[in-house]
Amino acid sequence: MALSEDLLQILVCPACKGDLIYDREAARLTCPKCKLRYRIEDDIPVMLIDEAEKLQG
Amino acid sequence: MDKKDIQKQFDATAAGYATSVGHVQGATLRDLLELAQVETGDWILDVATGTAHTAMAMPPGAGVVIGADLSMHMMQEGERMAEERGIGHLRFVASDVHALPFADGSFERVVSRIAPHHFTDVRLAVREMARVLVPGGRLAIVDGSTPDVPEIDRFVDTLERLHDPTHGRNYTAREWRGFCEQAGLEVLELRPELYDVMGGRSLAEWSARSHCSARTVGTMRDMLLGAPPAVREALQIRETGPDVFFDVPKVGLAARKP
Repeated sequence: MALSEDLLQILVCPACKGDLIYDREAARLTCPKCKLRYRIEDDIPVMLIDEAEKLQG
Repeated sequence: MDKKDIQKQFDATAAGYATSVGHVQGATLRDLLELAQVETGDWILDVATGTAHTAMAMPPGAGVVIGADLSMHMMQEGERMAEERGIGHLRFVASDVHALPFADGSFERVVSRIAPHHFTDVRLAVREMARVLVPGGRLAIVDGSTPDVPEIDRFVDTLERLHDPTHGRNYTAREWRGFCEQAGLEVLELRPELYDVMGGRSLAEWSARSHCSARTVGTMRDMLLGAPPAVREALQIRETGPDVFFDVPKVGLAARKP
């Protein structure tokens, strides 16, 4: 299932409070500024900085 | 106490919290709802929602209700119960109150019940909760507290830490006023020394929920039964058969973002 529109409207990166890019297929939310990728598990976005995947580059 | 330890403690004990009488029906829930004064259409953030008892108690006329917690297991338990009860306006987000993943001014109400004593930096947490409120929005908190008396404060602190090693600190009403004012919030109402209903909590039930060892239960029992009169009165300690009943005082507050 996809994240609800109302939630996507207010979710930001917990580190920089910047906008996120939602990849529905991969069930991930990415912060392009911090280069952090947050997973979504059982429709619950896991917005924990410690548990985010660090992207290269 | 580290966030990982808090996460682990609550991941392991989620099922007990889902059915705990105090968490489901406690007077603290009624106090919180009175303090929050939710209006139709309000977006609400329930910080450290756990198994979402508070989030699920929000009036059906509220807008979107978001339960936020560090523990996925607690929220999955909450999600299951919300589905069973057909509560459609509830969403969950794994998040840390010290770094909330919500835009400024996202919510009309931010609430938290029986949780802030776990926050590792309560001042930062209150600033974050204030940030995500809309101007004119309201923060409502009910949490374990302590009377402003060093003897009782120390007793409560030792007891809470024996019960749950991830326990941070129970703050006094005066400390709460300070946290809110430092975060730029205006305190509307402060209710010190609230108690749960139903004659307090049972030591047996309280310790079983947190998976305390028999030895720890024995230590807590001795502490409670040997408490000095001022502590006995503040915690309403009563021996009933093989069990001991008592209640740690709570504080309730409502604060407004100007």
